[in-house]
Amino acid sequence: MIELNNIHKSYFLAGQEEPVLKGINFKMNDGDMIALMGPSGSGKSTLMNIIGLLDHPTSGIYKLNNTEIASFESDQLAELRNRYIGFVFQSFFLLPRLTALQNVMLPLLYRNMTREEMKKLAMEKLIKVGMKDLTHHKPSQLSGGQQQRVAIARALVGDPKVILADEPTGALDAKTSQEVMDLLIGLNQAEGTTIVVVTHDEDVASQCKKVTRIRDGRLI
Amino acid sequence: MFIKTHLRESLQNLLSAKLRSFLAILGVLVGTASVVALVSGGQLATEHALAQFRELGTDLLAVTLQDMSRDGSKDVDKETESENVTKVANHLKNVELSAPYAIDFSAINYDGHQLRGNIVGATETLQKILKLKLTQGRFISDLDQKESYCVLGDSIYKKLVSMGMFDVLGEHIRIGDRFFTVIGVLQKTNENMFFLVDVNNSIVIPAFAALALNNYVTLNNVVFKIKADQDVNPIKDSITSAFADSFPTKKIFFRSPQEIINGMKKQNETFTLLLGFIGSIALIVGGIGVMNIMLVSVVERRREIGVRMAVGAKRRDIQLMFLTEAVVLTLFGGLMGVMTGEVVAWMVALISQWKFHLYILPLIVGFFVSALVGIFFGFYPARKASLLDPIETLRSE
Ligand SMILES: Nc1ncnc2c1ncn2[C@@H]1O[C@H](COP(=O)(O)OP(=O)(O)OP(=O)(O)O)[C@@H](O)[C@H]1O
Ligand SMILES: [Mg+2]
Repeated sequence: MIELNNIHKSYFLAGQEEPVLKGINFKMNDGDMIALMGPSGSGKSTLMNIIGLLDHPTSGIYKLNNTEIASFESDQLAELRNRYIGFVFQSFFLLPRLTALQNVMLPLLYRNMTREEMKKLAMEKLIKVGMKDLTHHKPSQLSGGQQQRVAIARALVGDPKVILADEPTGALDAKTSQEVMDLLIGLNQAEGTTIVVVTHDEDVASQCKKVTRIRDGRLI
Repeated sequence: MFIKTHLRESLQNLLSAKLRSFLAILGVLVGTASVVALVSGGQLATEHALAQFRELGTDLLAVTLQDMSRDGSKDVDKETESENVTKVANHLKNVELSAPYAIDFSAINYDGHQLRGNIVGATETLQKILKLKLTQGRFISDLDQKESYCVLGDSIYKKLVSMGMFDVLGEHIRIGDRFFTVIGVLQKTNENMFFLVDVNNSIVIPAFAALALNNYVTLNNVVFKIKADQDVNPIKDSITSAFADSFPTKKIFFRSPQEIINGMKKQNETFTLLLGFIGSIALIVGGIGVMNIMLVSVVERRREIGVRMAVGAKRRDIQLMFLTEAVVLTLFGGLMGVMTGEVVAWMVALISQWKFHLYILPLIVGFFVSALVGIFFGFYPARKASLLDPIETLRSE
């Protein structure tokens, strides 16, 4: 479904080219559950942002459903992110002023939908992640594990094809990490959602169908 | 994304930082309030002034004759000339009443005290035209001829009372070098701008008695009450030609309530323009304050902007979000400013004893302007927010 061909990404610091991704070839199919592992600074997050259409590669070909998206405008990319991709971040990135429910509704605000529909969908996902009773809590009133559940519900609410989770368990203890992993594995199994998980934890990686390793900007 | 959602979101955001939001709109509030207060105040003042004319009616016309030749009139007998003025005035078409009068500024003395005031030499029609009412005694009558009688204006009367002259009727007041007997006291009248002097601060004496006071005094002013439903311009023309025939050396000047009202309106426009200028400066300062706060808000909410973009917000969604916030902020400031301004205008009216009206125009202008301030000064921060790079904002600290 998503195919990367010879993707390069460089940063330019003071005119000096700093290559981060050095020719990535990567393919994801419907229903995949992939763990992405690699040392710190190897380019995992950079790769995830490119897969998630948040960042542009310096060169290379990105194909979504066999369509090259290099020429897409920023508005179209936003639309694609909204429909196809759900992000889960290491530090949750919930909006502190909003309740759990409102946070989950966020992606739906950028679709043409009535507020009732938004609430209904958000509620469904909150129930799915086991946060039924805490929908009106602010993030500051929730534990780390609970916040990550809300964040997963937010990633799920638009029914995306792909969930991109960048170290989703990085800020959690072993027990809550496992709960979050169970949730993601359940999604992959029950609904066939394609999931990419960045992790440093071999335990977490071993639960995925496939493990991809990256070192110094190259997949190995 | 619906504008309703933007509105809801911006309200939520603003309410979550109440104090800051309030401080941000303070400038807009003050700006709008001053514009509204000043414009309303100006309108109330004009309205108050116009009310005077409504009392008297707008069917009045004031005429002043001025001698243009230096020497020509010296040979003419003043009394004959004054009689001529009266005669000409009385024979005009479409004029209901005419009251020639003279103004003099001779010294007024009572009991060794000097009083400041004007002397008005008038005939009995003046009472009818100016709708003068008496509290005591009677007004000048045409039968008084050159008699040394006088009628006191309200302020003069009060001054005399404060000097200990309680029973004024029959008392003697020295005007110039002659003594006049008080025969009446006028009720307080509203100032009116087309009678040459303030009646309250005047002493009215018979016209021909006034001529005798001073060499230069002539009956060179006339107030006309024109017939109802008559256009004032043809009457002016006929007055001009009538006086031109009898007094070829005199130039004629008109003042009608219409003209004075128009003049006042023009003056009010200038005034409003000036106030608008002051108000706009306040609003610009307020707008810069809003821009500043919005810029701070953009910096603080970088992470939020990144998250929104990651979940599908387009650049223009972000821009619209911040712009809506700025406009809601300034509109709120505008609302409070309009209310404050009206309260101030109301207090000014109360103190000045004007009638208070709620004018719609300042309200609309206040709202409109504050919304514009929001759009104008919110644009740059909103644009800045929309151009943020989501990757940058989402990089872990
Ligand atoms: N905006 C940027 N400007 C310059 N260099 C950058 C930028 N973003 C990332 N880098 C560099 O790119 C490299 C890869 O960063 P990336 O965040 O992808 O690593 P990572 O594999 O996710 O590491 P970690 O496991 O610590 O999250 C790093 O050396 C980083 O310093
Ligand atoms: Mg990373």
